[in-house]
Amino acid sequence: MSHQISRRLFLKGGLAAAGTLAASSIPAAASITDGTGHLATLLDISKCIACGACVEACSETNQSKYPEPEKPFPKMVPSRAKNVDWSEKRDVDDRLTPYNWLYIQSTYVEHNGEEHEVNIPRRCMHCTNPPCVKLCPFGAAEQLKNGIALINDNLCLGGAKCKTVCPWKIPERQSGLGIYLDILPKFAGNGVMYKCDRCYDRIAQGEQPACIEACPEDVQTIGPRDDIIRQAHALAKEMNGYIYGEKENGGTNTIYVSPVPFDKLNKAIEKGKGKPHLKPVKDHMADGNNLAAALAIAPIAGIAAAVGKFYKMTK
Amino acid sequence: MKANEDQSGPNRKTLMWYLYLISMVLLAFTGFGQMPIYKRYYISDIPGLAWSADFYTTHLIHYIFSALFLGIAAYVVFDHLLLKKKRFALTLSGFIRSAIIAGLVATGLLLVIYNFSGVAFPMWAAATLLVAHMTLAMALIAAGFIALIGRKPWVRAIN
Repeated sequence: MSHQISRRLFLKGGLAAAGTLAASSIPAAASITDGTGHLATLLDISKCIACGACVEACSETNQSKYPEPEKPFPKMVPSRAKNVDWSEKRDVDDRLTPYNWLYIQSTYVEHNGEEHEVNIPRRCMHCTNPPCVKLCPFGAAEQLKNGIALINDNLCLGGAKCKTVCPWKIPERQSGLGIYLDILPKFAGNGVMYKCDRCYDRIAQGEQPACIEACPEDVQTIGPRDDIIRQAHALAKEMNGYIYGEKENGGTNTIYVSPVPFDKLNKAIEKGKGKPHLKPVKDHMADGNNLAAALAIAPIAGIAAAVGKFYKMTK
Repeated sequence: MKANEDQSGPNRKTLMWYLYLISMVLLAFTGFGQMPIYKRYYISDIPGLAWSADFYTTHLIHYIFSALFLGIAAYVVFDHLLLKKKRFALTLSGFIRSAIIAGLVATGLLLVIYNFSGVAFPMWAAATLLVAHMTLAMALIAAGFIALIGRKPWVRAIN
């Protein structure tokens, strides 16, 4: 039997393989989520009194989504990978954990000769182009059409790449549950990552996220991103204040307005594990996406080189 | 055969072959590095490889060598079609590797589109693409080793 493959067969086979994938329903299922489709939240932190109603409401509403790990946990190999267990510390509410997706950062800051008590509800920023979703190596996270970044606990292996690439290190791991237990529990994965899903299920039913509904001070407002940005600028102008979240990481769907500059707030707040900063954040996905132009140009250069050689040889 | 006709067989170790090899090795290394394994398994502790645990760095390197690879692939395909198609034909091994590469390019380009701001794929689609891309990469490595061990060339001369 001849192992020679004709060009026609080669092209047919290669193009068929590429075509099958490219023409599959994946591009058809893709959607444009920019701008109008995204829902954003505006947080007027001058109103927040740190009553904790939002934190409590978040916890009550999301109880059914919280992890219920199996114990004992698998012994991790190599030992550098550590099991993470928050299941015995479910009541911790002064930082983000797999059982606490929202907490309040409180601080005192002096600004314009006045001391301000500032309370900042902190949770996932729901970036407009979320690295946690786009860079998950297993596609275990999804950005919904309304902009919510969501981790699927049935698919997440708990490798925590989402946390590593998140500019605010928001997702938190719980070991002892998830798909990794069915694959190579000692050697790959380490649980499931958890973070705010902005009550996607309530929003789908036309309700508001629990934290917004429970707030007695109306700190948060939710709406189409363009409207929220307009409101944020109007509010900032009115209070001679500052905005955070509009441009950070290329834009987020969580817009804070504060009477105190965010660099002062960032210096004043307690930061660290489970306690995100308020620094300026560059667009983390931009460098890669800017390089995409090279991916379009490179084949053209390759074809030009081949055609150039062809003319040289046939002259 | 004309005197000025290209005498080189596509199986020769040309500059293109070395560029292909370098891009394949770096694409495989940075591609697998998209999984959180290099830090866990001490790869990034090897002197000179600390960058391998930085997902944004490996992501950028993957894009750079994808561009190089696409340039090489376009050159090789058009060089074959324009100059070599009458003298060389793909072997079965070459056909299989070409088909795998076509699949890798297709899934890779869709993943590049996915990474743009404003583009969202449903979870099943992103998961399918990522698993397909990774599976095809492993298949290409396997096919490459089989070809190396079995001395299977990409093309053979047409008599």
